[in-house]
Amino acid sequence: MWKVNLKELLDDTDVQDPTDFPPSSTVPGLRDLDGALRCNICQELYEAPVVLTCGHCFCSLCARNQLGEKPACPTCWRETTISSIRVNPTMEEAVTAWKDARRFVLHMINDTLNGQTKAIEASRPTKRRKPNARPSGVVPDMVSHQRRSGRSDVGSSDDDAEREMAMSSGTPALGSNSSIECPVCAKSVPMTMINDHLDSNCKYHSALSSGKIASSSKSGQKDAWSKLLNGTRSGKDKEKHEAEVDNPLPKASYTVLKDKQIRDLLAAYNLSTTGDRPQLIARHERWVALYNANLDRSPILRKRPAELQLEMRRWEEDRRGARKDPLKIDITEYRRANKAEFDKLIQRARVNPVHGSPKQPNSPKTLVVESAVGSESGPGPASDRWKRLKVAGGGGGETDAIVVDSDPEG
Amino acid sequence: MSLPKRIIKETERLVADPAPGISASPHEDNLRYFDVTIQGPDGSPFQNGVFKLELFLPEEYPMAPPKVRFLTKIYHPNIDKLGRICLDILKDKWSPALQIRTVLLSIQALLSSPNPDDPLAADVAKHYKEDEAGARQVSKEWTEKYAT
Repeated sequence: MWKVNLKELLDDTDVQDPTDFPPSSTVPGLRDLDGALRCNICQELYEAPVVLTCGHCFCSLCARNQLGEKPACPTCWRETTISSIRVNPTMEEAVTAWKDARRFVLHMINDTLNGQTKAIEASRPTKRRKPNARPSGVVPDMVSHQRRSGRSDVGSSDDDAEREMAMSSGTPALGSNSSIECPVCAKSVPMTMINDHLDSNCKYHSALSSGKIASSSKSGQKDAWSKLLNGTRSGKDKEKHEAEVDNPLPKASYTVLKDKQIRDLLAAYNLSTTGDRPQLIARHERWVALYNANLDRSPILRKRPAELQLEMRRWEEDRRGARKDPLKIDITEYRRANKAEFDKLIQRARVNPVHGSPKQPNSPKTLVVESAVGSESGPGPASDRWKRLKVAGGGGGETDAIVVDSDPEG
Repeated sequence: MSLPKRIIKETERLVADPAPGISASPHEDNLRYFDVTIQGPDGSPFQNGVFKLELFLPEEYPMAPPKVRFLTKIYHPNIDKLGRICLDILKDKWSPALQIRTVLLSIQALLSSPNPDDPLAADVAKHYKEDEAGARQVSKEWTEKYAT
């Protein structure tokens, strides 16, 4: 069966959780803060946070899925509907900032708790650190020393842009590389990190908003982008993207729609049109939720249609995986894996009657059967099978069956 | 078939930061299946008992509630002979905002405050209603006999 190494799975750094932070007895507030910025349904940091009429906050997609099942708040059960969902841009801002700060704060806590003083990474804007970085359990001297050393290290570099870049990546060694603007989140990212940054859904390696980018590096950026993208992203593409993301999709009333019409709705967004009616409806419902949830993000954080379509494909794969009977998969694999063993057993079973029949002449039941088989003028393979059964058997059922078979003979 | 991130997170939290008196660990070959122990709450007839439970997260979790069952015999009006538990959040009052941790804490609370007005084990509930002291005594005896 499908087996995972538990330890490995739990150590997966991709899975972030409030317990990444020490308990409040060591570092007050941070674990709770991380928990407070997470959706109660998916336990992730809020993605496109929305509030319901009761004021409780969820990811837009989580809220839409849940309210589709049951029109009430999952936390307090107050009745509400999808149409009364309101976006929460303030929370989104807080989460975006926290996503940036989180890794850094974790690093800093580890360094501080380990008593390490080198920590050049600690050269991050002090604004963010002030409220968080002085847990009561931590010796203040150590913190301030760390900050001082961090500052002086960074201060030795004259170039402003270089300093910013060093801060954004957390690795001052990047040296002469320039920062570029991410096309998705419009934040400044060190050029060598751009692929990682994009792969992480703009989570990592970004620190500065587009406004802060030094204007001198703009032309360099363009060059860098054309190098990276080879001009694959055309302006037309962008226009289309912007035109498409304006209005939320309406809820379709599937009862009055024919299969073909639902297929047309799906085809309009390049979605798969295969499957039976329930599958088509489920697919379209999911797409509407995904699409509208994307609109609950602030424009700069929205995903492109292609990304949404990719998410749809992943969702379909998950669903297909979940629907399959796991036992069936296992049996096929099991058969393949043990084919040699099975073949050997079959071989042995086929050979055995020859050796076996003289060994068991004592049992009267067997004798009866054997005589019946022997006198049988019918098809050979059948009698072979009976012999085999008899040898393997001894169970009453088999003998009965054999006797029945021999009846017409007698 | 991949395990949803939320389940991994919950497992991590249960292992790293367990709630007092509660332990839950997943099976290595099926991470949706948990072995659970709950300590009987102080001041209840189940005090000093350690009760074993099994917990299973169905495919639809967290949209559907986990399935939880007592494996240790227990004399409680809301828990029947088969270990099934009468608890609203395990049925119609389930919400995806709840977690394994909150469910287990609720079960622990249920041990502290039996509710014979909404029984699952009718005979135990009757006993609790007619002679609470006697019923609590039986619960205590069962705890000593089966849960220690």
